[in-house]
Parts: sequence; C-alpha cells; structure tokens
Amino acid sequence: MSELTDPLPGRALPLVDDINRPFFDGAASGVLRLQRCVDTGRFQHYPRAASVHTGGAVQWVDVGGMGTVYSFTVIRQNHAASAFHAQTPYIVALIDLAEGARMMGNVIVGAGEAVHIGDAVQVAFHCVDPDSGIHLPFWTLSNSPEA
Amino acid sequence: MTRDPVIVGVGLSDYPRAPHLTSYGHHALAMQRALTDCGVALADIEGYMTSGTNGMSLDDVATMSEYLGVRARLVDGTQTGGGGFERFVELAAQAIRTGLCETVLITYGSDLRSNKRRSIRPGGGPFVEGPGAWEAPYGATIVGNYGMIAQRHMHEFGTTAEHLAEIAVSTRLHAAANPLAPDRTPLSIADVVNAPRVADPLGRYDCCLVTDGGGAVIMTTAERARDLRQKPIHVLGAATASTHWSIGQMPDLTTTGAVDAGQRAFAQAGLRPGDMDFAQIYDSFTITVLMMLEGLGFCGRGEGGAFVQDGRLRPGGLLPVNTDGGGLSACHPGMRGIFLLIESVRQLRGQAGDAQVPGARFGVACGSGGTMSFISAAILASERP
Repeated sequence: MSELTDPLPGRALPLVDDINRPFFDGAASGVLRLQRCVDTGRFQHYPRAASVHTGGAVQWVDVGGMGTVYSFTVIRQNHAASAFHAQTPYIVALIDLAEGARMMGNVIVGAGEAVHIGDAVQVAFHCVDPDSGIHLPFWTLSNSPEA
Repeated sequence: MTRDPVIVGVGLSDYPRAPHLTSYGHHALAMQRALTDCGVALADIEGYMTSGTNGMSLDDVATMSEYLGVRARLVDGTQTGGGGFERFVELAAQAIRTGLCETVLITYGSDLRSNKRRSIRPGGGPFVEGPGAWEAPYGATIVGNYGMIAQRHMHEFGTTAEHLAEIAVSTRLHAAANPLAPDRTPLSIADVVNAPRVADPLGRYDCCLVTDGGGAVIMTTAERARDLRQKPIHVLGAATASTHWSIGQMPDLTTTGAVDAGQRAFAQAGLRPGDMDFAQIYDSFTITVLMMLEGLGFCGRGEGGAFVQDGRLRPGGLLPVNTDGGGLSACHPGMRGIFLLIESVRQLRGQAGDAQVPGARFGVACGSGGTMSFISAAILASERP
C-alpha cells in the first residue's frame, strides 16, 4: 500500500516555474530554501517575484529545516475521487519555520504517535513524481524515532 | 437624505434541491422574484453585481448580465469568496449615494447539489499554479483548513468541541421554523460532538450543508423606494477587510478581518454590536460563526466559546443568529453571502413568520470568503436611527 510520501496517482503537483524553481531544486538535493527580503531580512513563503514585506527584491537562502507545529488537522474524510482518499487519516499542518516563515505540509507520524501544537518538527524530502522529479518537503516529529 | 441607500427587493430561487435549475436559472428565478417583490422593472436596473456563477470563473458578471437582460452602466464581478455579496452591498451603497446609478441588482445562483460535475473541492491535478501549488499537493481540504483554525483557537483559548457544537444546535433550532430546511429535527450537543470527525476537530455537524440555491437583492435610493411595494431596509454601514486568501498565508489563525471591517461598518452606522437585534453570520463551519462574533466585537477575542452558551444564539435568545437555519441547517450552495442579506431583510420587514425576531430594528450580515480571508459586514436597519 502506498504511503503519503510516495508518488500518488492523481496527486496535485506544483507547477515549477522560473520564480519557484530554486525551492524545488533545493528540495531535490535535500535542502530547504526560502526567499528573504533584501530590504528587511524577513523571510517569506511561498516564493514570489517580489517581497511581500516591501515589494522590493528577494534573495534565496538555504535554511535549517526545523520548525514547530503552529496548527494541524487530521483529515479523516476526503472525497472518494481524491488521490488522498486512500491515505486517510493523515495530518496536514502549518509549520512555523525557525527562520520565521510559515509552510503547509504533512506531518508523518509512526504508529501510536500524535501531533500537538508546538511540537518540534524537522523536514525530510521525498520524490512524489518520478517523471518530473518533483520532491516535496514532509515533516517528522523531532523527538520521534521516525526522525 | 433622499439618496440614502436602501434594499427594496429580495428574492430566493429554490433550495435545498432544485434539479430543474441550472446555476444560470437560479440567478434568473431569484431576480424575477426580487423584481416582483418590490415592483422595480428590469429596464430600471442600472448597476449589476455577481460572482461565483460557475465555480470561480472570471466572466460571471459579463455572461450573467447578458443572460438576465441587464443593461448596466456599473458592473462588478470581483470574486472575494462567499462573503462577497456584503461587499457588493457596500459598493452599491456608495454608487447609489454618489449618484452613479439609481438602482442596483445583485444576484447569486448555484446548482452545487444537483450538478454532479460541479465541485468546490480544492486541488485537482496534475499541475497547480499559484498559491494552490503550496497546499493542494498535501491533500489539504476546505474542512481541514477550517479545522486548523479551530484547533488553534482551542489551543489558545480553551475553546471546546462542546462550545462549537452549541452553534450547530442553535442553528438547527432556527431551521425548525424554516419549511425548506432539509432536516428540522433538533440536535443535541452530544449528537454534534459524537458525530464522525471530517477533519479534526470538526465533525459532520460542524460543517455546512451542500445545497442548490440562489438569491437576488435590489437596492435603490430612499427617495425612489417611496414608490415601491416594500418597506425599504436601510444600509447604515458596510465595510470590507482582507488579510489573505490561502490558509497558509493567514497571518494569525485566531483573528480575522472582521475586527477591521466590523469597526468601520459599526462606526458608519453609529451603532454598536450590542444594538443588534439579530446577526446573520456566514456559517460555512461552526468555527466561522465563533470567530466572526469575536471579530465583530460581540465579545472579546477568545471569548466566543463562553459567549455562545446559555442559548444566546437560539430562537428567543439575546442574539438570535442565522434565523433561517443558516448554511449549517438550511442552505449553502457554495457561497452563502446573499442569503445573509435576504434573511436580514425578511426580519427587518417583519415578514419572517415563525422565525420573526420580535421588533427587530437593527441587524448585521457578516460574510466571510475564502478561509476567513475577505470579511464584509453590512449593518441594516428597518429605519434610520
């Protein structure tokens, strides 16, 4: 049976373009990469062509891949036509990265593990589409044997 | 002030199931009933506003004005989600007050329940562009996104599933007075909290229905209203505030644009939340109502759980909320904002029958679009204070 981190037939995938490509290039090489506002030094996610803080320039920075769970849900029902239907229950979370940006992702837990707001998590990248080579960030609890 | 903006006509199409109507048909039937309601002629419509006819298409106002036979000098089809209809009232009120046009039509229609090809599910492959590219690949769902908001609210303020359940219970009690509501059987708190979870912490009864439905609202000046059939309902204030669109970009999951929009709308009206005889609040989910009540200032931030207790929102309560049975128990065709306006008008005219809030003079309709992203509040009154 497939796992959430496996290629799932029908999973929506991000369209890689020139603006977001550094993120996915980083992901494929196991590095979490974020945009930083040149003027203020503040981070942003998702990637954009300009800073959401000033409208000015952004630069790409490799970051640590550590964060905490800001909030989460356990998806217990999804539409039968969804690629995720067979994956229920699964966890969708908003991760506050140590550097200050927030990112949605799945927290992958082992049997008997539960997620709580405030839990420390760390990133792990998985290829979800062998054809395009797209890797996505997933998250595991930092104190978990899964980590 | 003879150019004071008023709502003179309202109309509903058919709900909760209307297999005989397309989305376009819902618009047209609702418009027809609103025109008949007030006695305005189609040829008198100078302004037209709509959005969300078929999902999120961008040409709604262009195609719908043609379909309805509207020849407008002012149009707006800005898509700000389900609460956009309160924003249309805000824009129409400005246009009427400044003399840009005399009479404005606002419509909505959706065959979400009966048209199996229609869906508001996010995602869909294979390749997603824009903000959705950062959420769809993780199997995010609309219920799950609101679940994350509820989870954070519980974490910060101690809000419980039972607190949220009271909103489902009170709304179902209102639905008992609405013959169109699909299920009028009372719910208990235990029914709600023990129902299967859809996305933690939200269960089946924390989520709105999926129905068909449509509505229309006609606005004009207080002067023009003197010649029309219905008692005019005054728009005393209306305001909008946006903070984000995607859940991942919501700056703080426990506060919304309702704070800003509510303050400005109430200030325009010269009224306070405590002056309201009822509230029609966008109830996509129970947590939406709780957060809007807090944001509008009916209670403090984080106090919503306690505020909704003691039957306050129920029929006969201190603040009846969603007196038609709401989206939770009567009608939610994907975007609910127009129904908040229509039910407010019905109450303020004194035409609400068994659901009538006795002596209702002031009410607020508060719409929420996206994931509590665009909030628009309108303060309506049976007379100017």
